[in-house]
Amino acid sequence: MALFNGIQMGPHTMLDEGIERCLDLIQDTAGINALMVYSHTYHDDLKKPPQVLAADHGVPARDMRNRKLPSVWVRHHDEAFKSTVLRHQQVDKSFEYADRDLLAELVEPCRKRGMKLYARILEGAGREAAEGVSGFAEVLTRDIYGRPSSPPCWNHPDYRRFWISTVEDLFRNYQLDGFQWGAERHGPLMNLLLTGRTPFCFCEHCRARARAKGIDAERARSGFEALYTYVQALLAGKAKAEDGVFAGALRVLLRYPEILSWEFQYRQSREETEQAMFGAIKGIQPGAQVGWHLSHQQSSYDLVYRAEMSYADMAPYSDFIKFIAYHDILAPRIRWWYLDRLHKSVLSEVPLDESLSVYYGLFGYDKKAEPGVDQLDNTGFSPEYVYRETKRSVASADGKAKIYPGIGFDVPWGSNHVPADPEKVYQCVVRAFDAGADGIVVSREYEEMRVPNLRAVGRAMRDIQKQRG
Amino acid sequence: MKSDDINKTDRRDFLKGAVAGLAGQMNAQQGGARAGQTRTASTDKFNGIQMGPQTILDEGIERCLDLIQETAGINALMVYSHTYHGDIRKPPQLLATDHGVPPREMRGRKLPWVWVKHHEEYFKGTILRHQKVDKSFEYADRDLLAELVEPCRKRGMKLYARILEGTGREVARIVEGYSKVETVDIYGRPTTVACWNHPDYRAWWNATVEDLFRTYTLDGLQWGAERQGPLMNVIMPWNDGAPVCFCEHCRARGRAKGIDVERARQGFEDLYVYVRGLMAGKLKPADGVFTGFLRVLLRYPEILAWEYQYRLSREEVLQGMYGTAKGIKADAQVGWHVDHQPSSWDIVYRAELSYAEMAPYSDFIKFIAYHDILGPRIRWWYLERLQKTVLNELSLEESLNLYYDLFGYDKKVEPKLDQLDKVGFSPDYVYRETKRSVASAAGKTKIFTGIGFDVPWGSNHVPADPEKVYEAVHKAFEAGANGIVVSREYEEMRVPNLKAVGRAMREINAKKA
Repeated sequence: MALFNGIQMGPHTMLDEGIERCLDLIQDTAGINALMVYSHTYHDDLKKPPQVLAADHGVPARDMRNRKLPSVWVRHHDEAFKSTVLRHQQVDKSFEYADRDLLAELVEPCRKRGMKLYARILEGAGREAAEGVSGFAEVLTRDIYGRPSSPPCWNHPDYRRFWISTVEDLFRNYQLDGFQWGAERHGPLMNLLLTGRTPFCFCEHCRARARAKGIDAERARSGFEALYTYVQALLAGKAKAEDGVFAGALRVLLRYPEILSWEFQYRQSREETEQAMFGAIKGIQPGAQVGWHLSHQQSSYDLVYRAEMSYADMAPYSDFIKFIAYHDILAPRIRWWYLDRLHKSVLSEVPLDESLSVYYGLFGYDKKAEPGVDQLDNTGFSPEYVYRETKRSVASADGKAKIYPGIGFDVPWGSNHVPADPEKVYQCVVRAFDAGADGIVVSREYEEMRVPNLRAVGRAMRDIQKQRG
Repeated sequence: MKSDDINKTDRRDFLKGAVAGLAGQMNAQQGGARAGQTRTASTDKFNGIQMGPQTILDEGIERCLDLIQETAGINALMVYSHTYHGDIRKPPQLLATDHGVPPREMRGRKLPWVWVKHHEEYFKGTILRHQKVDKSFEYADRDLLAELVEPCRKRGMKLYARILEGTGREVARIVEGYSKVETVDIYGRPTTVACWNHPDYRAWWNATVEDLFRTYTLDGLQWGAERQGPLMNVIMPWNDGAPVCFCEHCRARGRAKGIDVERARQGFEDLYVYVRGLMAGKLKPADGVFTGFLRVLLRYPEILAWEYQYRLSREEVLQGMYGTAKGIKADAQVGWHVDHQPSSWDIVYRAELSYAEMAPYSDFIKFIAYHDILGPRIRWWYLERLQKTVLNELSLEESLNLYYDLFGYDKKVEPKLDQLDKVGFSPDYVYRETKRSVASAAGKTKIFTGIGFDVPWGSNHVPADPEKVYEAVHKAFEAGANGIVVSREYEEMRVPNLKAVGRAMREINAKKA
């Protein structure tokens, strides 16, 4: 039986390049047997500069700026959304590809190639979602000061029902083999420590949830306010931390352990949203494969997320867990999104090289194989990282959910293409299966992937299949 | 004045007279009234010394006071009034042999645990009673704190009583009623450590302090309890004991503070089982060892709430003693011994309260800053233990670097991992920890740095370098200390090191003048 070998794909790319040509390319080069296509693109990531797009797919990449592309690529039906105030973007004829119905058009071309067809969604929380989704403002999180914040609230009934309605509508109207959904959000604690952002959510629904769980909402809010004030002062260089910067953060946690309760409930609420989608889909198509996209932070540098739940804990509502294991781009991300940010907040006492060393230690990566702090900007992580993170994930799932590492290459850093080494891509695929992966998802986006790297995936998959007979 | 008070006063006067006579004889034998010659100036910086009662009596009060004043310029004597902490029967190699009186073999001596005369009337509010010291005990006929008043006064020395809380089987056996006030672990079992929240235990300390200050002419009190909180006890354990305390009083306190007691207990049980599994090598946590620790905390934040309440309960015991002592003698200096772990490697203790927050019930905070012995202590009591529990994924070098960073010590100056067994910390550690403490106190309480030397490691003497001792004293004052306390115990201190303290203090006092 063929090993699962999915690919992440933007709908516009496929339509720009042409369905048949595109499917042929990914199958011929990378041996792809599962297509994961965005059904919705609220996540704000389509309008990329030309230099990050692959130019070797045989069809010139189009300039994305100034295109009017929809955020919704499927046909929704109002009757599916009666239980929520939210409505998806109405895609009128002014939008490019408004007349196309990609997920319907893909069924036959996929089937004839033996490819599975998955819908794929990344939750949107920014401008695209706010402008596209009617009623979005009603379901937004509330910060510690009672102000609306940008992501919607996991506990808002209308938001939860919106996703339930969405997946029900998808699975009632399209012949899908599976579904991958993700939300690239931190919890409120890491959000604060890594970005200094005002903590949320303290809306009426979250407060009611807390009361039901025996958590003192006001103490949680006060605790987050104290921590926020402290972190903001640290970021501004004005904090009084006589007993130490980290000790100061720990002081707030000791005095307001409700911060941890709130953080954990935030995560639980997110998981309940996934459970609800899982249940809705399985109720319609029990054979559908439903799983979750875990962002790079969640997979590889958010210790709080990792600590909150094992993958086995998530298994009852997860046919698979696809976690990001992009080896190349992890390096600058760790340098600038993790080390630098923590150094500006609660780990300012720890030099970056030591913080990196502790990071490698606690996440189980091999510091001898991975870049030193001064290499993070110009050297990616190694295939060994893919191996170790996959092995950890397989152990965490404990055989109860399938584990798909997201093998990432040509992922840009800012507006710059970060070229991948095909040999490393090959090794990453091999190492993922060495570590016990049930499959891989070729990532991040097809539109960025250069053909030599797609070929490296294909070569590895053939070698692995051959080896396994 | 009650008749009992008259009797006590008479007794003290008699003793003072007797001691003065004895002192005169000693001084004459030693070549004159040296105490008068070296009398401390009242403007001198506070320069206390920690001393065991048996040592003073073994060496002789006058000789002993002369020695510490002449060598180290001591102007405050801190003498154990009680020695429940069980540390006085040391092997001979640890004891200084250059005090002019050969140290006595400590093993086999029957020494008391209580070195003051207690009075039953002060203990009516508690079921606990101190050891009864009958005549079978050595020095049972002496009353050291009374005998010391005049010799200290004539030298310009302050006299402080000093207590380190005792725990363990011996204390449980000796202190009457102790079994009634013991902490209860997560499984409901009593331990041999008393509970901060037990009203009888609190009342006992208040009674003890009241009796001390009503009975003796004391300038101050230093009290300490070398206990970790339950969280650090689990992740950096001294023994196999399960987390405490879940007695009825702690449970009631937890409920009153809105903490779910059963969730706190369950959380501690999960954490304890997890850590014991790690230590036994039976756990291979899929998501990581430290992650597993964090998982328990995220699921049971009540652990942190319980830990914090444990600390607050401790502080309330201190507040009780402070109020009691001040109510009797308003100008008594009452402060706290902060042992090496809370001063220098327990980040939970450090995070829980600043010294400024302790200030309302603290005339001073004396923290341990023993530079030499911190080397092996960090190696074996901190790094090694944490690596066996929740920091298993960090190499010892990484863990040491992280420690230096988070505690604000200079890793370029302090020992590397492979030096910790052989090389002590530097005077710069004393400087940094004092500076941190002074900042933490924010001018609201005095900071006394505990300058330690000749502190043993196990049964081995760790010889101090007088030059480093001298530097450590200087560094403490450079960092803003209000005084120092020469530590750990006089009986261990070699004369060259005492002289190094004296040399530094003379320079500091001269500069100040």
